[in-house]
Amino acid sequence: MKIRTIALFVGLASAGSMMSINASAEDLRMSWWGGNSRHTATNEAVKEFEKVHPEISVKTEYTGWGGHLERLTTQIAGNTEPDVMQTNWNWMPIFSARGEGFKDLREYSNVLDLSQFDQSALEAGTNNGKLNGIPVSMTARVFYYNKDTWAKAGLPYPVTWDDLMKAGPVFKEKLGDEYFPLMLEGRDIIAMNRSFMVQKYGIPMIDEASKKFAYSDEQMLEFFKMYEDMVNNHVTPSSKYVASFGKANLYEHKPWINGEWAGVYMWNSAINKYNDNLRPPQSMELGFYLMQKGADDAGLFYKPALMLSIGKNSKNPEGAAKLINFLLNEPAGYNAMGLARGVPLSLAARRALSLDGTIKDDDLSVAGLAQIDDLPKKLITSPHFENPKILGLFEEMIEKMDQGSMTVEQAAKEFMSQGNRILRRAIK
Amino acid sequence: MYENHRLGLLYISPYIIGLLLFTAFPFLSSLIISFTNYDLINPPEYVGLDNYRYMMDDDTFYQSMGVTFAYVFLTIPLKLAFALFIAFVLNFKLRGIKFFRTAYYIPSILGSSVAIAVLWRAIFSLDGLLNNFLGIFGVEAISWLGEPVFAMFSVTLLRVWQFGSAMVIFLAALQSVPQSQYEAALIDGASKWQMFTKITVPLITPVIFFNFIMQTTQAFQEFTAPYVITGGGPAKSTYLFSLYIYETAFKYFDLGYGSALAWVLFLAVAVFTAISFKSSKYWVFYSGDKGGK
Repeated sequence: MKIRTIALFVGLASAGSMMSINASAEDLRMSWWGGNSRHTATNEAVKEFEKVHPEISVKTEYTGWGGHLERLTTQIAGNTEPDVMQTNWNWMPIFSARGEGFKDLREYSNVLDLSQFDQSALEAGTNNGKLNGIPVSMTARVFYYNKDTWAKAGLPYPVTWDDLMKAGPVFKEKLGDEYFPLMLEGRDIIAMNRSFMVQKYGIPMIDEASKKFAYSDEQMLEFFKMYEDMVNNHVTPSSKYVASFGKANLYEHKPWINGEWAGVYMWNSAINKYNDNLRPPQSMELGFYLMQKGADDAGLFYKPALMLSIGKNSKNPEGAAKLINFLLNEPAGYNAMGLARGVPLSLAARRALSLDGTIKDDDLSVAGLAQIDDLPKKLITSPHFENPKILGLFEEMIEKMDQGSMTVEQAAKEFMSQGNRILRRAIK
Repeated sequence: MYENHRLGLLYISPYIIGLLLFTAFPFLSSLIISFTNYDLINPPEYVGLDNYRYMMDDDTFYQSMGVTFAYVFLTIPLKLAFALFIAFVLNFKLRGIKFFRTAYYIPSILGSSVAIAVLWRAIFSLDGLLNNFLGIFGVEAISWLGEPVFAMFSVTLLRVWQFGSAMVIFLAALQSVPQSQYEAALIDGASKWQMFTKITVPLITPVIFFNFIMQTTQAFQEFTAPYVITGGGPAKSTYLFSLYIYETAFKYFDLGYGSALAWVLFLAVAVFTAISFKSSKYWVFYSGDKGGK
């Protein structure tokens, strides 16, 4: 019964979307995921767009994050995707491995002003020479600390990697076994260690051309040893300890809320939800970015927080490009959008929103972005770095190390061979 | 006669159509997809037996298969024994028996819901209910979800706890055992235990077998509990096969390999069930049998 009801709904829903496709050619569809504030702001901005361009009408389709990718995947697989889509940077290898999955936005530069965007950011939205997505805002992982716990430990925030290693024992001694200067999960560790390796050796982790890791065996071992050292030095809790709290988001764990885990290596765009979950009156502060002496690249994992793309089946790509330009570069558009998609990358929008006080310098995420802007960044991170299989494998390796079923040497070796196998299959 | 035939088909057509469309079709397409490299976006590409060959030296495949069998072998005996024991107790004419029958069935209604799994996590977490309770007696906090063996135990316990449906079936079977047999045994001076092992159990072996098969096939497909409680960890110690299939297909977008894995699970369950049926002639007694044959 239940299945048939669902089938009926699916049937009706697909009939509904077919109808909208067959509507007037000037109609555009735009989709995104997000929370309520983003929905309201975007709908508002779209209305403004329709006032300026009465010949184009825009139908908006928006959902929460849950299920959005599955829904979009189905639409793309059935060639019924919207004209304008909010996309994620790490979806590019899935939807557009050869750059053909979305329109090349450079072809519409007559209506879409690309000069407002940082060149390296546009590079990140480019696949196989085609600009598949235009970054709305950029983000990177930086260090944030729990101000109150660090004050209790009586330590200044670390400046070098060595400082960080030395903070662990102090936390243990002064505050107790359950207090750690940093809380790192698998995906944080791999990104942080990569940053260290870029600073030290100036090489990326993945070499896309040869479809394998760019590290030598010794370098991979060093990569894993760094984690082992951090656990042994009480810098971060072991994965085994974290697992004993069950599966949940980091900021939902009690030790986080209570301030026992006193720091993160986190996206500046996501930091507010970590800060908001702390038990009052605790709060977070931006730390220094740890640097190796003489490094000319911070090794940031710098990527678009969100992008806008045009569907490859769009009947009116020029209209779609106009809409994107309006939302990102024109006053009526970016004023209505505000910070609903993070601090905008578009220079025009950023300047105007700073002047009118919408962008506040003391906001954690804005402060993080200012730090990111100042750091040297040369190497672009491969989107395959976020390959869920690579991440899963890395998590498995450190868990096995922590459980004592693998030595650090075995873990590094296994990660190298299995990881290369995954990359060979994933990189087209 | 022929008219009736057609009318009958018409009546059951909603079911038949549903079965063909939503069970048979996906079932068969997954077999076809298992011979392809398919990421949902790009058209599937025929790769022959590549996916099955890739499995041969895929460590996660073996690990996850091992975990799944361990889970099944741990859950099924515990659950069946527990369900039978409770059914046995509830078969006595006690006061308020109807209340208890309902109460013991409730966990099964809550079934495989996500909410229960979240509750389970809260109980077994390092700072959870169980450790707080043990703390009263001075027991030091145990890492129920951080130690592979304990984590498996915690996840298993959730399934064992949901013994209601098996229990109800056992209860019905127990009530169909003729009273006269017990009376005869009583006259011969049999103890309660002897009556249970020599009369009750042999007479309900068909039902034990039925419950065994039903529960086993379900256990092989368990997903919610490990997904919500441990996420398959720590170190893949609760990474059941269904989790691996799900992640391969819908997290890694490797539908070809995911389908191949699903088919291997299907074959494993089929072989396991076939063996069970083969073995059943040695221990399942149907009425009218002379026993054993």
